[in-house]
Amino acid sequence: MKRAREPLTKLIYTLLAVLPAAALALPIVLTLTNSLMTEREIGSNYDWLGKMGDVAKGQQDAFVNLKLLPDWLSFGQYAQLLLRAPVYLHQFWNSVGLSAPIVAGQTAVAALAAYAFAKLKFKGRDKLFLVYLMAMLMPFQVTLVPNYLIAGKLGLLNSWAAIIGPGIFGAFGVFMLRQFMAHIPAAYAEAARMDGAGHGVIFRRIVLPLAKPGLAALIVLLFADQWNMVEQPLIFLEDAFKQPLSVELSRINEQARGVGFAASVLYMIPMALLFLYAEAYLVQGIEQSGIKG
Amino acid sequence: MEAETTGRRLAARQRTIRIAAGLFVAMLIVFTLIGNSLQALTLPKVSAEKPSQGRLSRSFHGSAVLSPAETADLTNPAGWKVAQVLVKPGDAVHRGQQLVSYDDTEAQRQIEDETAALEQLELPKPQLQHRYVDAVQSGDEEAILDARTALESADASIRAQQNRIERLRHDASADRQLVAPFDGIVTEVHAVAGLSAATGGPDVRLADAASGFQFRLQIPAAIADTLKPGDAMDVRLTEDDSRSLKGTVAKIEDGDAADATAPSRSADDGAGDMASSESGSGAANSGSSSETGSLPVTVTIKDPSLRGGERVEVELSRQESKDALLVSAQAIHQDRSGVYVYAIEKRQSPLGNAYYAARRDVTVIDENGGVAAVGGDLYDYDQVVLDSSEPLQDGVRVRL
Repeated sequence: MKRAREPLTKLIYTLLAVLPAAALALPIVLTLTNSLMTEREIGSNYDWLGKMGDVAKGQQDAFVNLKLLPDWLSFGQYAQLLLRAPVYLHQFWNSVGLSAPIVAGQTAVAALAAYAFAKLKFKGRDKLFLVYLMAMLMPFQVTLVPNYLIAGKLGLLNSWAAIIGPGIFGAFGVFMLRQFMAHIPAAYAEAARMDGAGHGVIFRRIVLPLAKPGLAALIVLLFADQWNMVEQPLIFLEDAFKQPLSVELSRINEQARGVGFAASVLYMIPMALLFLYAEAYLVQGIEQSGIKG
Repeated sequence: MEAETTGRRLAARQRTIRIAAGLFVAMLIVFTLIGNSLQALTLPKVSAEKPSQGRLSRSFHGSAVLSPAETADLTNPAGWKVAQVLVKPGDAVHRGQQLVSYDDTEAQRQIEDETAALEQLELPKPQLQHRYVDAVQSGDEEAILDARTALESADASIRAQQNRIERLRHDASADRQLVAPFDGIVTEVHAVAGLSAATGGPDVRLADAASGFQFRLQIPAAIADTLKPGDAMDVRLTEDDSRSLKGTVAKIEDGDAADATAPSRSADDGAGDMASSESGSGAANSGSSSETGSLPVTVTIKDPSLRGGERVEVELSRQESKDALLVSAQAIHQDRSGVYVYAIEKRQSPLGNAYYAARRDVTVIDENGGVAAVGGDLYDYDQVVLDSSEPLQDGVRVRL
């Protein structure tokens, strides 16, 4: 009986997996293909958005045409993005300049803090960790106003430091890495201590390599978060030339749709590359975390 | 075993990804650099200047011909024929000098006729006297009265006739010649020997040397406004540069009054400004000194060496009394919404200095030649766009 059902079950399971995947992948595919269309074609597809009327009242009804294939393949949008309007590239580098320090900084700081929380024993450790937890659970908007006031008093408004500073000392990294490091058997550390290793050596030589999957996961998640940040730049940064590309893409209007698609494709690439690179570590981490003892 | 191959495949894949990422970053950097340069190339190129603080100066250079200030036209009232013309144009004469002598034969003849008539009147006189004597001798009252009346009436007629002759003689001697009433210079002589009553003008036109010469210039309204009657003006002879004479402003007229062909002021007052400056007759409204019209100014000049008819030159210059921002007239533009200039605003960014053209509304206070004094939204630290390779608009980025 099982054998007879196998192809059918397989088909059903495949469909159950593929259809949602297709639905989720559709926006990305649309972005890719629309970036290869001319502006006029995009207009003919999407101009009806918001203008469709009520058929019952006799107004015109229209359907938005989601085209997956361009009628006329054109790279004009990319030419516009890369050559003629350097402002987009400039904002891309702004994004890089904002995200990279945060990711690197938070990973470094959180690794150290997580090691302390996971491996060291000191008075008030758990209570302090509880505070970290609460800080992580609070939505970002709650701490926005105090952050703004402090940044103002420090004179950091309208500079990247107002965003990078709080970013580096975020609580999420500490939490995640601590969980990871807690799973590393204490036996490794003890063995190393018996050989005369101090905390620094243990941290560098034993804990970090073992926590690579956790670090990879943290980096990917942090990057995804910071790469797409919109509210912080809007609030803390005034000058337009300091804004990251995510802010610009959030403001795409009718004039810049074509370039917006191309810029979105450009914006997706670093994220995709990073994920592909870190995926190996993630898989490795998932495999390894099953191992205990 | 499996883990090893997966590990190797993984490593290979990760290397591919690393290479891809490296290429991506490299491509982005290249495009960023190229894009910036390309964009700068397409910007309009402008040339700019700093406005200067100063006073607008205007100058006027004009020349005119001297003509006598006061002339007298002299003619023989009797209309006799001219016997002899004693002067020619350009002669300096003094008061009482004989200019033209006339043929008085006609008058003489008339005197002769009247003298003959007088003789005729005197003829009956002895007879009347005789009659009177007789009447007195006879004692007749009526006859005495009669004779006396006749005698007296004859005497009266004779006296009248003598007066008439006297008058004729007096007139003849006076009219025999044309005499200069004042010191002066002869400007025109129309009397021709042999003809009576000169055709085409007075016998002699005499210029009064005491009142000097005058000339008329069309001076731009802006400068003419600073002159008032009685002001001194430096005048130079065109032929003889070495001397500088002093003239006095005698009269400044309204532009319209002098030009007979000017359009009637009442008809088009609004458009009159344009029309009148086109016809060159000066400001249509008195007091509007910024019009481009010019006013006729009469200047008198007295100098014994002048003869009339010389060409003189005048150079006037005037500076505005207050400091203002001066810009080249080339920098000023005008459109439907007003008069403006483009100022250059600098914005600094990590990509370098970016210059933008910003429109500033100004009002032109005064203009002369290629320089204009402006007021308004402009400061002396601004830079003003003189010329650009493309038409500019407000906010457009430019390249200096």
